[in-house]
Amino acid sequence: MSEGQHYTVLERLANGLVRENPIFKLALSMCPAVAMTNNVRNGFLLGLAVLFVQVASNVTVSIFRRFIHERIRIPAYIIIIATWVSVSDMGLAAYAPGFYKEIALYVKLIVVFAIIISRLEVFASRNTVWPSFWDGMGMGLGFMFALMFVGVFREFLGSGSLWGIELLPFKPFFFWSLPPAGFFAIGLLMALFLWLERRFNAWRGRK
Amino acid sequence: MREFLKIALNLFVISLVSAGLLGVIFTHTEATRKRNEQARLEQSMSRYLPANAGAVRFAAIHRYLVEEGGRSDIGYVLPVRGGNALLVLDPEGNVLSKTPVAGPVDDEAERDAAVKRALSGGEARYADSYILALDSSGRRLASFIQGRTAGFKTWVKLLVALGPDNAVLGLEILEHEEDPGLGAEIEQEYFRNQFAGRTLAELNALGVVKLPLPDDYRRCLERSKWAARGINPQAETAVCEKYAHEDIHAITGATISSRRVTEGVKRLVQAFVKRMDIVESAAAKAGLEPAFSPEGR
Repeated sequence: MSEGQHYTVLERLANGLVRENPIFKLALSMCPAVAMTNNVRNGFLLGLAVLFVQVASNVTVSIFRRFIHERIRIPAYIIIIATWVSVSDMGLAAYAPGFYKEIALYVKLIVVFAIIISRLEVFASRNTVWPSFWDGMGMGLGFMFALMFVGVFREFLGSGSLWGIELLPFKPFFFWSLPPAGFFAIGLLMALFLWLERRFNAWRGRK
Repeated sequence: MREFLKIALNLFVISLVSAGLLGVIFTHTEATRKRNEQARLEQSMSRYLPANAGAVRFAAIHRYLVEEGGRSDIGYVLPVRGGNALLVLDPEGNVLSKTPVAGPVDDEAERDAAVKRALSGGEARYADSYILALDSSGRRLASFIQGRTAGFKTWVKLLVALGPDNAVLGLEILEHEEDPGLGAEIEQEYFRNQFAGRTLAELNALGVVKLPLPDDYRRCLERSKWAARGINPQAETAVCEKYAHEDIHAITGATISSRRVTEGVKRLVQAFVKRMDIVESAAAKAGLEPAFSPEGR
C-alpha cells in the first residue's frame, strides 16, 4: 500500500466490509466482539461509536502524518484516539443525554481497540485525507456489520428476540447469551463468512 | 541530541494541542452536562410525587464521612434558616460541631469545596444525599435517597423513592456499568418495580430468589407498556398485588447484580430512617432550625 495508490470509495467500503473485515478477517478487537454481541442493539451502538472514532482519527492522522515523528507515532496515535474518544464522550453527555445514557459504556472502551490504531498505522499514516476517510468508514461499517451479524445469531438463539423485540415466547438456548458463548459464536460465524466468501469468489471466477 | 529534542518537542506539541482541545470542549459542555443530570434527577423524582401536590419544595441533606485526627465522624450538610450548615456528629449521634457553610451546595464539586472550607481540618468524603419533597405547609410528601451500592462490576448509583410512611414508592437506577444484556437489566422495569410498595418491615426481611419471573407478574411490572398492550390498569394492579409480598426475583444470568442492588436498597432505606431521627434530634440539640419540619410535628 504505497502512497499515491489509487483508491475508490467503493473499493474502500468493500475492503472494510468484506476483504479486510476487522472481526472476521483481521481478527482484531475480539474482546469487545465477544463481550458486546449478546444482542443486536449492543452491536449496533458499539459499531456506531467505533465508526465515529475510526473516521475522526483516520482523518486527523492523515492530515498531520508529515508532522508526526516516525519514532513516536504510536504514542501520538494513542493521544489522537483518546482525544476523539473524550471529545465524543463529553459532547454526547452534553447534547444527547438520552443517547449518551445508552452508549456511554461503549464509548469509553474504544481507546484500547486494536482495530483503530492498526488502521492508523497501516493506512491513514500513508494516505491522503479522502481515502483515509473512506477507509475509516469501511472499517467502522465492517466492524458494525460483524458485531450485528454475531448479535443476530446470539440474541435470537439466546433470548428468542431481535433488537429487544420478542419473537419467541421462550429462550431457545440461553447459553448463547452468556459471555463464553461469544467465542463459539464468533468462531462459527467466521468460518461461515470465509466459506461464503470463498464460494462467491469461485462462482465469480467461473463466470 | 537534536533528534531527541525533536522527538520530545513533537510529542509535547501533540499533547498540548490535544489538551487545549479537550479543555475548550470541557468548558463548553460541562455546564450543559450538569444541567442534564439535574434535570434527569428532577424528572425521576417528579414521577413519585402526587399529581395534585401543588407547589413542591425540595430540601436536600448531604452526608459526608469526616476523618479527623484518626477518628471518623459523620457530617451532614443541612438546609437551615438563612443558608446551609455543616453538622458534625460522632457515631453515637452527639453533636461535635456546627458551622455555617458558605457557597452553593447543589453541585457536588462546589459542595465538596464548601465543606472543606467549613471544616477546620481533616478529610471529608461525600457519601449520599437525602432529598425531602415538602408541600407548602412543610409536610413531607416523599423522600428520595440518592446513594450507591457495589454492583457486579463497579458502583451502581441508585435513587430510592419513599413515601411519608417510609414505604418504597419506587427505585431508579441513575448510573451503572454492568454488562449489557445481563447485569444491565437492573434498569428494566420488571426488576425495579418489584421494590414498589414494600414497607419498612417487609424490606427488612426481603430476600432474593432464583426463580423465574411469572409471565403475568412481569406484564404487570412493565407499567410503561400497559397502554401499548391495551391492558386494563385496575385488573393489572390486582395481579401485582398477588405477588407483592414475594422476595425479589433475580434477573436470569445476573443473580449477583440483583442481590447487590437489593441489599443496597435495604441498607440505604434502613440507614435513612435511622439517620433522619438522629439528624432531627441532633439539629434540635444544636439549636439549628432545619428548613424541613420534623415528621409528625
